[in-house]
Amino acid sequence: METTLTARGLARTYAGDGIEVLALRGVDLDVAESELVALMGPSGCGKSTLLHLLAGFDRPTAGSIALGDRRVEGLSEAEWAVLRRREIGFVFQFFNLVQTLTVAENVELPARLVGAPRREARRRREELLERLGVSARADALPSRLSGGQQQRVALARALVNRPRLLLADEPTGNLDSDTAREVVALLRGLGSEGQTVLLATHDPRVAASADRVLQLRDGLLVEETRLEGGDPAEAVVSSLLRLEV
Amino acid sequence: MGGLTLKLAFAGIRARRVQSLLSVLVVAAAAAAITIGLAMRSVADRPFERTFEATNGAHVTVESAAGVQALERVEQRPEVVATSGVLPMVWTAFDRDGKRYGLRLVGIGDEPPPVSTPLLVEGALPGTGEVALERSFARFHHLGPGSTLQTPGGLLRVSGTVVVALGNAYPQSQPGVGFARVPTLEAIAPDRATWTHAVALRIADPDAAGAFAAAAQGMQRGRGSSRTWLDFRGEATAPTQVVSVIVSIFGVLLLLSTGAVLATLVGGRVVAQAREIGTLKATGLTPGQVARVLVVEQVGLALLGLAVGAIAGQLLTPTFTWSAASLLNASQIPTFDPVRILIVAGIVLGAVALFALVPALHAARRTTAAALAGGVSGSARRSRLGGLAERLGLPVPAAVGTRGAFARRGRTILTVVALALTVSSAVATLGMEASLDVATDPGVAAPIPGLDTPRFDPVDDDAGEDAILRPVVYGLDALLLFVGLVNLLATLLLTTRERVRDLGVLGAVGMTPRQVTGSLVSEQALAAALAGLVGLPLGLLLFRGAVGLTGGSDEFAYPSWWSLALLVPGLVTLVALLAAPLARRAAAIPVADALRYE
Repeated sequence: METTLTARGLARTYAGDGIEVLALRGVDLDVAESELVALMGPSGCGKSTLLHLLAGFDRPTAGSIALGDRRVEGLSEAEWAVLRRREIGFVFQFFNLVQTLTVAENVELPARLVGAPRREARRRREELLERLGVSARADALPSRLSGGQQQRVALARALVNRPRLLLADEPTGNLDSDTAREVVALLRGLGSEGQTVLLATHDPRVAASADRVLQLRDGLLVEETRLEGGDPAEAVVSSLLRLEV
Repeated sequence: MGGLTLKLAFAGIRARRVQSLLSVLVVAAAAAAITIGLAMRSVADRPFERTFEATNGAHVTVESAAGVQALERVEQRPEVVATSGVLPMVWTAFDRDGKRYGLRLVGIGDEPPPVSTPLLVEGALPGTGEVALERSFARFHHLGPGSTLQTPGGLLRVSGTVVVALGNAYPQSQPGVGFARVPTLEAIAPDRATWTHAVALRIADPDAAGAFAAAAQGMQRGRGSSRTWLDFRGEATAPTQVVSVIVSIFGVLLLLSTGAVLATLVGGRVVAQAREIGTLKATGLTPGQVARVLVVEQVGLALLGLAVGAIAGQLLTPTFTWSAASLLNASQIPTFDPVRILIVAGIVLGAVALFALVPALHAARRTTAAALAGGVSGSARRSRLGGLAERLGLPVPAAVGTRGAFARRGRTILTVVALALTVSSAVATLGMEASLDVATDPGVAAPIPGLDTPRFDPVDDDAGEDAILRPVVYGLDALLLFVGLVNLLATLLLTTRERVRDLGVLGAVGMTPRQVTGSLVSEQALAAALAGLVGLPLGLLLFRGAVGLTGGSDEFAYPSWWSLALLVPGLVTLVALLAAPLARRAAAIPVADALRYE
C-alpha cells in the first residue's frame, strides 16, 4: 500500500518572552493510503501543532514532510494554499466556517477555488450535504446552525474536492454523542474511497474506530497501537482509556 | 465600582495599544478640525455686522467740501449720540508698476476716531510720514507694513493695515483709503483749500439713518454727500455672500465628517469588543457596568486626543481665519477663545460618549453565551445582494469579499456612511471650486479721470481676492481631505484587524495570500463604491441646500459632470490602494496564528 503522508524529525519550537517551548520534538510518522489514524494524548502534548504543520498552517522548526513523493515543508504560503485546496482537507474543532457565507457557499468555496464549474460545485455540494443530513440548511448562515450541523458542514467543505488526505482536529469535540457517532462513521467510510484520515482526539470511542492509534506526549510519539478489526469494541476502548491516562 | 471601572477601562486601553493610539489620533484630528471649522463659521457669521460692532461703525457718514463748520452743524443735531469728530481728507495718487492709482488719505489725531475706528490688523497706527492702509486696498496692491508709496507730494511709509466698516472692498470701492496724521496730510497736500472733510456719526435711531443722511447732505449746500450704514451693509454683503457661504459650508462639512469619523472608530471599536463584553459579563458585571467600562475607556482616550487636537487646532486656526476674514472684509476673531474650546470639548466628548454608549448597551444586552461565541462575526446576515455578486460571475475572491461586505451589514453601513460624507464633502468642494469664478468677479468701480482703474484680472490668479480665496478653499479642501483620509485609514485598519480570523479560515480552505488580499480589498472597494453612489447625490443636495439657505442660488455653479463622474472610481481606486497593503499584511499572517487571532 502506498504511503500518503510521511514526516521525519518534525519539530516546532515557540519562542516568546525569552522562553522556548518545545511543542514538537522530532516526530516521525508514516500514514498509508486509505488508512484512518487517530492521534491521542493529553492537552498541550502537540496534537494540534502536528496537524497544523502537516496542513501547512504553520512552519516546522526542523524536519521534513512529504505528501506522497513530494516534499512540501519548504512550500510558500501560496503553494501550500494551492496544495490544501487540491489535496488536503481540514476539519477544525470549532468549525471555522466563513460566517459571511451560507452553508452552500462555504461548501462550494474550495471547489470554486480549484476551478470547478459552478454547476459541478453545486452538484458536489448537494451530494455531500445530503449525505451528511444538512441539505435543508443549505441557504442558512453558519450562525443559525447547531454545533453538530456546523461540524457536518465543515466536514462537507473539507471533502468537497475529494482530498487524498483529511486532517481533523478534535472533529467530535463539540458534538453530542449521536452526532459524533455519525461523523466517525463517515470518516471511517472514507478509507473505502481511497482517502486517508489523520485525526486528533481525546475520545477513546472515536480513536477505537481507527486503524492505528498514535500516542503523543510532550511533543514526542511514544506509543503506537494497531487495532485489529476483530477486537471487541469495549476492550479497545478500555485499552485506549488506559493509554490516555 | 468607580475604581474598578477605571481599572478595567485602563486595562482595555493598555491591551489594545495600536487601536488606542489610533483612537487618540482620530479624536485629535477631529478636535483640531472642529476647532478650525467653528472658527471659520465665526468668521463667516455676519461679517459686516461684526466689523461694524468692532469698529463702532457709523450709522451715517457725511463728506463735504463746504468746510468744517457745515459738518460741525450736522454733528450738533440732537439725533447724534456719538461722532468721530470732523476729519480732514486729502485726495492724492501713487505710482505702482508704471501706473497711477488714486488714494484718499483720512487725517487722524494721536488717538483714532471713536466712531468708525480703523481697527488695526497688522503693523501699527501711523506716525508722521506714515500711512495705515485699508486692508482690501493693501492686499490688492500687495502692500504691507514697511512698504512705501510714492505720491506726488512725497514718499509715504506703510505703518500697518486696518479694517473699517465702510461698504465695498477695494477695488470695487475707489480710490483706496489710508489713514495718516494731519501733519502728514499737510506734507502731501500743503494747500488746505484742496482738502475736504468727513464726519462719521452714530445716531439714536439707526433705522432713521436715511432721513438723517438726506438732511445732513442738504446742509452741505450742494457740496457734500452722505451715506448710511444700510448702504454700507448692502455693498459689503453682496460680494462676500458667496465667500461667506463657501466658508460656512466647509465649517458644516468639517463637523459632519469628524462626526462620521468618531462614529466609525468608536462605534466600530465597541462592536469589535463583543467577546470581551461576554467575558466581563461572565465575570459578574451587569450590562450597565459593562457599558460604563467601555464608555469610560473611549472617553479617556478622547480626553487625551482632545488635548492634542485642541492645541493643534489653536495653532492652525489663525492660518485659516486670517485669510477668510480678509476675504470677507471682516474683523478678525479672537485666536484664543475659551468658549470655542469648551464647545469643541462638548462636541467631541459628547459624540464619543454617545457613539460608544449606544453600541456598548446594545452589545452588553446580548446573552453572555452569544457574546462569547459570536465575536464580530456573530452579526453576519444573509444578503440577496451578496448572492447576486456570485451569480454575476465575479472571481471567487471578489465574490467572497462582496458577500462579506453585505453580510457584515452594521460595519459596512458605518463605513459607507463615513465614506459617503467624505464624498459629499468632495462634491460640495467641487461645487465651490466651480463657484469661485463667480465669487471673484465682483465687478468694477467707475473709473476716476486721469487715474488708472484697477480691476480683477480673471487670467491673473495672483491678483486680488482670487489669490486669497483659492488658498483658503484649497486649505479647507486639504483639511477635509485629511479628515476623510484619517477616517478611511481608521476604517480600513479596524475592519482589516477584525477580519484576520476570517482571512485565516479562507487561507485554511485553500485561498492563496493574494486571493485573500483580493477578497478583502474587494470588500472595501465595494463599500467605497456604495459610499460614492450615496455620497454623490448627498453632496449635491448638501451644496444645493446650503446655497438655497443663503438665498445665493444664482451665484453658484454646479461641479462639472466629468469631475463628478471621476469621483466614484477615484474613491474606489484610493480605497483599494490604501486597503491593499493592509490586506497584504493581514493575509501574510500564518494561518495557524490567524485562526487564534482575537
